[in-house]
Amino acid sequence: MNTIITAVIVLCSCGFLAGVALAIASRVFAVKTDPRVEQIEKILPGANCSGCGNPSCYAYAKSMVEDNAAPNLCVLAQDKAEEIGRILGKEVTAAEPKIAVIRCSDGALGPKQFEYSGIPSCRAAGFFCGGDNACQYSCLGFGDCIRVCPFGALSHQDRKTPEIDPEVCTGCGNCVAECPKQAIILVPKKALPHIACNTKDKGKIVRQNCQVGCISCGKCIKTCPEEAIVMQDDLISFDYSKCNACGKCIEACPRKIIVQLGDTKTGEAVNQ
Amino acid sequence: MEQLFIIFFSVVVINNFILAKFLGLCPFFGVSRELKSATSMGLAVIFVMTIASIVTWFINRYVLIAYQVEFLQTIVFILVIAALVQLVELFIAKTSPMLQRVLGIYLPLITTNCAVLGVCLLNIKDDYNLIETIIHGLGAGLGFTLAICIMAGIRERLSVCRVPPSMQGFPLSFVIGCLMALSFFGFQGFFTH
Repeated sequence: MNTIITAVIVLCSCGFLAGVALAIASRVFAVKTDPRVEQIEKILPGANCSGCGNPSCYAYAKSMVEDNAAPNLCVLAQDKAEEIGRILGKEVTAAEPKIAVIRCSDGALGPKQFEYSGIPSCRAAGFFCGGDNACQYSCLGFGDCIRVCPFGALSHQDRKTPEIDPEVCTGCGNCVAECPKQAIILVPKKALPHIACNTKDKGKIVRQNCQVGCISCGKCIKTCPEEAIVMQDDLISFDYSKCNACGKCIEACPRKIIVQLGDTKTGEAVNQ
Repeated sequence: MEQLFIIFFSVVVINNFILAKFLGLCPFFGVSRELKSATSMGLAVIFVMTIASIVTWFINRYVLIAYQVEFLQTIVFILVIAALVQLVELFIAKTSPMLQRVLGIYLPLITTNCAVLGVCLLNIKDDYNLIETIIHGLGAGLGFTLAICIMAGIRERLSVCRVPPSMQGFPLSFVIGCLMALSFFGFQGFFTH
């Protein structure tokens, strides 16, 4: 009987002392945090996609409060930028929503330089002579971009160029940074045309390497009434501040690789 | 001195907590995907094991033995370790934000880790004095870190290999764990008394 009582007393007093010690310690060692950090973190989506350049939503909230980071960097909380601005006491304008597009119609279609059977990753494949595709600018199709997408917006079959679901894509830019061929870019989310080719080669070489690639004929540039299309190093790009989505370039392109955003470009462009 | 070295070496490689005693397997498989997080986990374990060894040694000697309630060892040690880790975490958050960022979420994760409790109970079972206890706790943590870092290194290499779908993830990790345990088994009988 005595042993039981001693045991109970020892255990209880151990627990009590530990509790008191913790209570005191939480007072003594309390770390002062800015309540605004917590408020902003609640508004942020909590996806930790690092699209804003911070490792996590908490880190972004903290840098907004402490280091004066811009409150409209979060691609998912654009509509809430004003709310965040109110907490911080700042005027904020929402940034233009963006979306990622792949500037390649289908890398798997063209001829190969050699047979590649190494590590199934674009980055690894790219180390050998720039990958097995004859076109040095094409998508390698191992899906590195699919693996880094925190939202699951990309998908592909075999080694075809991945497709981006415009409904799911948030424009965080993780895939843009991952692609070893720089074949992915961010464009404004409004329905605008974009060119599904990344090549800087001359037309003759493109013809050898790809059935659909841009041959730098320049028809789109001449057709565009707004002068929104420019060519630099044989690479076509759009100036989206001028483009009004008239769609004339889409009709003019003899290779059918200028497509409307949101269209499934792969396959369609090839069949036509 | 020789005795201390034997305790240290034996707990790091021969009687490695993960690979020979099979304690603390959850973090071993859960946090070994990347070398960076494995290292942080290892550091947190070294830290907690050493401190928990010291504190429980005192508790055992001046509370449990003094009141002749040694049978309470397990339950009191769990209580003390849990409270201790919380306390240390508060202390670190205040005094060293840098250290807190490194150990971060791993500290509370190992509060109720069986390896930490195991090292404290083994200290008592093997009747170590204070110095031996510290060496034993430190060595156990180092052994844990060694095992989890090797595991993370192997798994990082494997992430770029072609693995059959049925073996991907944990099945392959378990096979690797077995092979590592087998290779460490080679250290058995290193010291023959």
